Amino acid sequence: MGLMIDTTLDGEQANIALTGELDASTVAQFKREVARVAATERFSVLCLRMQELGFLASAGLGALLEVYRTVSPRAAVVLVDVTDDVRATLEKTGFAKRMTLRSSSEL
Amino acid sequence: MQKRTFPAELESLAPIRDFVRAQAAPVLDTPAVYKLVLAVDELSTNVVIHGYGKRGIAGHLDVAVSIQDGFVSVTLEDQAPPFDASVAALPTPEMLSAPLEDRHPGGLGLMLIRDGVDIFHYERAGDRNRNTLIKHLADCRRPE
Repeated sequence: MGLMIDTTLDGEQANIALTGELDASTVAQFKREVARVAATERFSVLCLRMQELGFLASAGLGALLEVYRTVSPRAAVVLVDVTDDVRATLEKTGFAKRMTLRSSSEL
Repeated sequence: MQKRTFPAELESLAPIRDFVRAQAAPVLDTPAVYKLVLAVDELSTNVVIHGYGKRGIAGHLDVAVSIQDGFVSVTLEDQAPPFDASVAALPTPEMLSAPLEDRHPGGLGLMLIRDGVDIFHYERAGDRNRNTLIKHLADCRRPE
């Protein structure tokens, strides 16, 4: 299925919507897009919209860590509309306690 | 038993997941299928990147799924150098609760493998690594 990425800007909020699967074969694509947005856009909140992300492997967790370290000095990172399966992985690995998870209705 | 051979490359990860998911979905409930598929993905990724890739050798990954009375078994075989992931060190609770600024991502894949199945067994069979993942149906059988 691969990974599709849709990036939009809404004022100070950057939205990166992920559709598909974030694994070792797609993680470079995700990191490139975040690096591009971080280098070219101004924002104070980065929302990673994950409602349509059906699979998250440990390679994706490593990427989330990189994204957090890249962006967090200047902007908040929020994981939005995480599915139950992905949430279970985030909880098991301790990421859920350290990252901000929200539903889109809470934004 | 259903068996398929995949090239040991990252592009095979999604087809491997699809293959295992298709076999397991009729008998396991949805969360158990996801965790089993995740465990298989992590193991396959290790073989592709660390087993074959870092040594610059091409190869294949044989994946077999067996549905038996009471459990689902997935066996992965490769011809990379010997490596027993079943005894590799896992992240400690302190590492898992560390602030993101201080965290190291290493070991999370191994953790997800062991979390996703009831039994994770490794053996060296001739020139092959054989990893077997077993999920019992007792608590996660798909409802009729």
